[in-house]
Amino acid sequence: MRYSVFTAGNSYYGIPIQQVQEFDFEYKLSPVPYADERISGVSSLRGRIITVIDLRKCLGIKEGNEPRRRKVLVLDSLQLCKDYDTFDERFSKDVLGVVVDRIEGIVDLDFHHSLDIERSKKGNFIEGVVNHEDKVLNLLSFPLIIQDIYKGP
Amino acid sequence: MVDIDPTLMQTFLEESEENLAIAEKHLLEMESSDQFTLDDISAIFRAIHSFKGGSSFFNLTTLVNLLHVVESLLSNLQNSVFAPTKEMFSAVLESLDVARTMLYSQDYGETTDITAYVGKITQLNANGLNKNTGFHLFEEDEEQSEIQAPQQGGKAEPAPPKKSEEVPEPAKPKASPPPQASASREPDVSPKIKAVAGEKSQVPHKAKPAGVKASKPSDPPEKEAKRKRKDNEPRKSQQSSTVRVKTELIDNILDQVGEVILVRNQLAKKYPDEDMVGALSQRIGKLHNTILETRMQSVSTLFEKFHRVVRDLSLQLDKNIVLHIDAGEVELDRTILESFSDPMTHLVRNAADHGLEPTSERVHVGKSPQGNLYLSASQKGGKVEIEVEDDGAGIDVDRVRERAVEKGLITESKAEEMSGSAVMNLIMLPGFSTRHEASELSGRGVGMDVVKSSVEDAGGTLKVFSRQGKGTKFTASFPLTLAIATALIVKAKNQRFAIPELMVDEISTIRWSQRDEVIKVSEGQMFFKHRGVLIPTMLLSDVLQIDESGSAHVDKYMFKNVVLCKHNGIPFAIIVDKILNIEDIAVKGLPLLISDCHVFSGLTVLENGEVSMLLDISKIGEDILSKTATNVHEDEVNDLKQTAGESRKEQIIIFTNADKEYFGIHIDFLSEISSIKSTEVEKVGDAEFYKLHGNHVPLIRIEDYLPVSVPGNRNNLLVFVSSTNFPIGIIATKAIKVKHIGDELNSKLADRNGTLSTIIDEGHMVTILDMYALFRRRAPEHFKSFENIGKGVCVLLVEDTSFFIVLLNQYLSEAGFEVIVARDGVEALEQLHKEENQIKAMISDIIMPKMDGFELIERVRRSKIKQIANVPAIAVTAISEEEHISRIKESGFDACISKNEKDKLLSRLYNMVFQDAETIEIKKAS
Repeated sequence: MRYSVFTAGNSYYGIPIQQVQEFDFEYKLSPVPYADERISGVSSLRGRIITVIDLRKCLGIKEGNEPRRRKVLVLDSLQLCKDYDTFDERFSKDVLGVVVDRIEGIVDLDFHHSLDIERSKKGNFIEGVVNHEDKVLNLLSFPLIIQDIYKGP
Repeated sequence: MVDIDPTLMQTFLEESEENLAIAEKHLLEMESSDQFTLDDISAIFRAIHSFKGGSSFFNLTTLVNLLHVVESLLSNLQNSVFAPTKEMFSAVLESLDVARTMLYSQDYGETTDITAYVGKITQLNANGLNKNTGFHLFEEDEEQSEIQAPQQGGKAEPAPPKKSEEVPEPAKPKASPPPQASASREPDVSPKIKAVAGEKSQVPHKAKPAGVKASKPSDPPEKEAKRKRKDNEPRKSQQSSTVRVKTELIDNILDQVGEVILVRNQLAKKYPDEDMVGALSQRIGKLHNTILETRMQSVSTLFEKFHRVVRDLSLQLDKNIVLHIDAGEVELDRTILESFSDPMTHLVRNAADHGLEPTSERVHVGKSPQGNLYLSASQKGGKVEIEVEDDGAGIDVDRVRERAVEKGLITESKAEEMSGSAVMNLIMLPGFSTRHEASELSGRGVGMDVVKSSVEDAGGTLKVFSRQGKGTKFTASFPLTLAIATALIVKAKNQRFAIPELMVDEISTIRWSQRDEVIKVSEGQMFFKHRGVLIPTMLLSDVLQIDESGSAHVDKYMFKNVVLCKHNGIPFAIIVDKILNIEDIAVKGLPLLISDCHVFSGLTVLENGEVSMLLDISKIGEDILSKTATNVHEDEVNDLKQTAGESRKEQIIIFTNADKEYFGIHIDFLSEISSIKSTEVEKVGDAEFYKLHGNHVPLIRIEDYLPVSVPGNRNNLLVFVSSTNFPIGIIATKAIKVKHIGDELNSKLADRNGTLSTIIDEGHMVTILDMYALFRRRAPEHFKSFENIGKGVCVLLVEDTSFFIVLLNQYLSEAGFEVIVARDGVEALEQLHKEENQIKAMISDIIMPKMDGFELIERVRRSKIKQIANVPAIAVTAISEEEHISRIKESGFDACISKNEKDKLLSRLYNMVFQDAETIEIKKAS
């Protein structure tokens, strides 16, 4: 299975490639007063509104230097709904993005022949940890993160 | 029937629907205006004709037969063979209804029995021809073939249409027979009807293939020709043609244009001085807007269909209903409009069926025999409001209450507590119906909750407002989501926000350093003085709690803009750093993740590609106005909006003089609050003054008049300047807050020295000052003593807010009047009847629960008891109610005086009771 890999702080994170709709775009974030602090703001993605969350804030990462211009991963919310039954279907109508420090690239992980995966004790949003080459990849669940932010009206 | 190509069929269905709509529209227009115009008839004829053409293409013989007789009748009308009658149009409408049903039935109505309809129309046609002797020559022919049509129609043979298509020909007396029989079925241009000649000459071409088609349906070239004809036809016959496009397609185009805009922005950045880029930029902006507009539809398209619905309802219910439509130029997203169509039909049916009384009953209660039904749409701030209003019997609140308890929807004790407007909203609970029997039309007790939930599904809210005997109004308000709106783009702390232009009353500019224009009361809360009125104000950055971090240092000396708005009629202001420009924006709904940010009603992408939040001005207004009002609950505010007057709150400004001693002044009594240096106080003997706008305003130190502590030395003072005719300033140390007070005033504590009452706020006792008592002691020459002018004469005081009850009661009893207090119009009428010989004058508030001042005075003046009808009456108003003044003067009050003008009120009252009384009586009698 192919994963896209990105960083925040000193750690590497990955999500299945099909959950990513776009890798970075020219964004200008408008902060949203009153919104959860993990929400960086809203931007326009070719005329559509994209709500952007900050991966550092979501995971409570403070270490490491923040690059001057961080990248935004545009998530495929329809795919997220497909992959996670528990994910609120209403999110499928919104475009969601996440600011990360750097986008590393795409890796091929084969879980069937690997015993590298172990349940993480780190945080509630990490579904597993995989060793890939010399790196430790944290496999993330964005639906869990987003559900955690969303409190409902 | 031929094998039907589904896409072709779909086109046919859509076109037919369009044709039916055109025909109906013109039919109803003629019916309602009672004028038969050739243009309308021709339009109907054309619509029916092309509908028939299509039907015959698909070999829908029964439908063709039905449409044919209709067409024949219309053709005769069009050629002025005989005069049209209402009956004819009713019959045509009826037939079109059947045609529509047939169109959507499984077999396209082939097996539908249409004999009755065909018979009726044929009969009418025959009658018309009989009456008209002028065309006697052709009469026989006409009648025969017409009568044949239905019989053949019943048998569903494909042949008769062709034959009978020749029928209208003899009806046109002057036209010479054209050479080709098949093309000649359509009358040529008759000299009488030049007006439609141009359009009509198109018709023969259409007619020809239609006839041929029926017999040879599978001929490809014919088919092609036919399709061409269909394409051309609607565009030529009517101007407002439409194209059907899939919504996804438009969304797709919108996305693409969005992308183009981004490229444009980059281009503009790179070549800022290039003219061509500017031109391109402008074009793209326009393109974007145009595409956005395609999603919008005028609300009037929704309203139009109710002409028909209401017409049918009036016939069915045997009520004379007049429909008034005012959709303005309001547009709404098409999807919202479409989803509101059914609920709205339900509301209209409800209004016609349950709301409007039968004619006899209307006459009995003195209303006009015809019932009025109003449909209106308006854009109010961030909302589009659609109203369905009737002038019928209204909702019987007591019966609703009873019924709700009966049905177990609420408990009895709860029912008694609930306010009238809250009770009315119970009708929208599932399983509620006030009518004892469900009627065929509406009201099986499942209606209103369904209406409410479908409005809510579309993102709207539904409210009901009703006055018994006067009518009922349902208001559905929808968010502007996707709607195009004009917005003010403002800046606060380097962020841009959009304010719907419709919410903005006025824009003003202030220099931030000018302290006397903006008065800070406490953290984040201030007043802006605008044309002599103090308006509660907040900085937008405070409202939004945007912190300073990351933003530029705020220059205290720069100009700021003030945006003045109103919430429920009460003005408030928002101070922004800058107003940037005015832009047409496409409002988008809030994404789910930020949907809990209540100060925003949506967001939009600005022309520069930046996303900007749209401020929910009514929410912000509510926030600003109730900042300190811990005792005002949201429900009450909503209630207020609905009933305009249930348990109103009065604004008291609380301040300190000596440490920890709190005082309160009603905000209506203040014209301004100035902060001055203690050195600015001028002394003349013992009296103190200060210079304001060139005048010397006498000052009062509370400690000189009331037994309170003396404050220490102060460098800065606050001066509360009264709004009395002769202004007086009260010296204070610090303004604490504005508090909304309700019923907690205690009048027993009033003395004549300056204390009106006391209240408790956050554990502190607050002394509410009696300004007049203080002022009279300070400047007796300007504040008359009215002691004992009343001589014990009895006056009825009608007032609902306890502050003014206490205040006015104090004035009146001090002046020697005996006061009877009534809390609303209903109580006032009771008192008047009970004490008809005692009460010599009435002083009434305007906005009150249950019965307002307008209704009260109307009933008083109409009373059969002379003493009541002639009682001198003064209306007292709060400053915020100025808009009512002209209405008050017309309504039957003898005078209208502001509540804070004690002198004026008492002298006028004195004159009325002791001097004018006789003159008034004489005036009234004549």
